[in-house]
Amino acid sequence: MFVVQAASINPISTQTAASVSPDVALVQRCRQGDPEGFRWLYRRFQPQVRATLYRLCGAEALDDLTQEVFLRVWRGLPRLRQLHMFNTWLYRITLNVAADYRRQCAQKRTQLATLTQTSSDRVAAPDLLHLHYEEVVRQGLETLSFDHRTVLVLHDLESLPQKEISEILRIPVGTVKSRLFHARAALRRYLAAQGVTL
Amino acid sequence: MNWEDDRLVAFLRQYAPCAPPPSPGLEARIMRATRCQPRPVWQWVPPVVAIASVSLGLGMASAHLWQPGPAQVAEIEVWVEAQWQSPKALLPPP
Repeated sequence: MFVVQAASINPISTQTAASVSPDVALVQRCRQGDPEGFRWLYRRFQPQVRATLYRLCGAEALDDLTQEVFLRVWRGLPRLRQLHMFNTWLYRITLNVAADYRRQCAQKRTQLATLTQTSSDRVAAPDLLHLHYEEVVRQGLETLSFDHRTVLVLHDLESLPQKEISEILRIPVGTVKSRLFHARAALRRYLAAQGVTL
Repeated sequence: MNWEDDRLVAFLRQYAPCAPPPSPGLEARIMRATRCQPRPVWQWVPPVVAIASVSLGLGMASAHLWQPGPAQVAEIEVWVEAQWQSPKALLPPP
């Protein structure tokens, strides 16, 4: 996860000792209030944050949610003590922002189906079948509860280990397993109902 | 994972829609927003606490350095007794 590309954080990697992870050095730099360091942090983690937000909340408010995540990171960095836990901490913030957004949507009785309808219009698909399956997966994820969807996205789509998910969500590993089991079962039923044979 | 899970996960990874690219000005917008959001005050709490602790420690240490002798203690007791018996003495002069 988050394999560091040296070229992508070149200004940091040239300034730090070999024993210090470039990510940790970057986070340390940001904790000290370095705006340029924070720009590199944003570029480094923005794709991951954005992908998670998109899979949990759809496309409509994606820019605003991304901004909210990084503002919370900026405000919260000085109190982050375990720098090597930055990824876990960042995921936790991302999921909190996503959960807040979904609560707001529920209060406004906004239909998530309309939220992400635009996304499939904006992404050019090479063929209709691929586009159809993307739409089925998107709708299938929406049928899941937020808890189940979160675990499935983190584990099956973002390849996080169950232990890390349990740390991010502050739940036992057994609960992660249980949610994953039910999420997969529900999604499998949905796909079957849509005529998708795995 | 069993083979059913493997096939489901492979299907999901293949067809999970990708997030649309960010707006061109998003990075600049976020950087501007961070400049408008000063870091919280509590980032100064640890150094302030450290300085206060050191000051307190030094103060207490210096207080321990001054130990009145028996004669001084007796003199202070006499003075306190005198003040206690004549409360007017505590009043500021007219």
